Amino acid sequence: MSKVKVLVVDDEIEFATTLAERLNIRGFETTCCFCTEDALALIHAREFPDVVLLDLKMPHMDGMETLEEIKKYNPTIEVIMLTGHGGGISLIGAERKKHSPFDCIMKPADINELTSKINQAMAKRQLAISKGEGV
Amino acid sequence: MKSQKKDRLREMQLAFIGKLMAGLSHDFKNHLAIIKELNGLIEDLLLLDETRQPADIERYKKIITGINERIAQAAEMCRVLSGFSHRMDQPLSSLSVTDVLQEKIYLLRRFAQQKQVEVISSFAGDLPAIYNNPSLLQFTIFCILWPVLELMEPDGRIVITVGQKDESIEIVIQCEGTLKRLEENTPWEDMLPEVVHMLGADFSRGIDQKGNENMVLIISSLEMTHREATE
Repeated sequence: MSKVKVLVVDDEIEFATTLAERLNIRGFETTCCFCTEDALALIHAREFPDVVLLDLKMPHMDGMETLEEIKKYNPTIEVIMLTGHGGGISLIGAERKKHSPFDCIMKPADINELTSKINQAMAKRQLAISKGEGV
Repeated sequence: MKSQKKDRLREMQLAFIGKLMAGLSHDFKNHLAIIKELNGLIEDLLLLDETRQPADIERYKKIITGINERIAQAAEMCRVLSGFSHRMDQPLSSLSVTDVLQEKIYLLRRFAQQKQVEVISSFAGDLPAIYNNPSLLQFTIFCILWPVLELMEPDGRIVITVGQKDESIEIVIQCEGTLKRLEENTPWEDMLPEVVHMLGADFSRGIDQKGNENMVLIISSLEMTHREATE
């Protein structure tokens, strides 16, 4: 069985690389991007991750805009927002947007909660693929 | 017009403090997130290292758990501080009295501990949201609770009960213990009638049969009770 591919997108380099190492220890195949431009370039190059862990507040393009761009290319990629902002999805106004993140997790996050959410997001992606959705 | 400009200036002053505080608490959370991941990585690597003695592992795990507990406490402080700061974003909004009170009680916890005063709170479930000025409600509650904390003798108790009465939210504050009497009111007490009026609320105080001071703040849950908005 192939590993779940996770893309961590966060401008806090130390956070992204440490989280990626911990996810790799837990059997995921993790890549890091430290800006949304690099993350989108990766996806444009059809290097599709299964799940994206995306920081909500990023320079240049915020998490919600990046989510829209990711979903344009491949709607089956699931995005989990990571945020230091209180209030979760309701506060970021995700329910009013065309696409919603799979979930929104508060920083600092618990690794077990995070891995559980990644697996749930992956299950949703697999279901969508089996229905023939996506690119 | 002049008064409206003054009000606007006051709102913007609050919004500016709120924005800076919210930004700062956001940055704190980012630092905590990095510390938590680094701490977690130490634990992961330790568990993968088969050369370690079980006794060593237990000792390190205990230290790691201690660090994680402190991170959780600091993150909770940041969460409350962030919520408190965002209350200043809008001069009027729909809000939960329970959330505002819980934040305020949390932020006053340290002062209560220093004064050796216990603060107990209970909130009725399913309370309706109110439409009012969030930071003004914070300030009103502060103007009520702060003098009590300042004047209460050690080992006193403040019991806060929040419930619904008809279409209003009722906050009852029972002061169990001795309150020092000063010749003059504190500045917060002097300010209270005006802020209660601006909030569109009613405030009363009295002494119960046991000789304890009780205070009641009643805020309508109906929209547009805030007097600044209607006058």
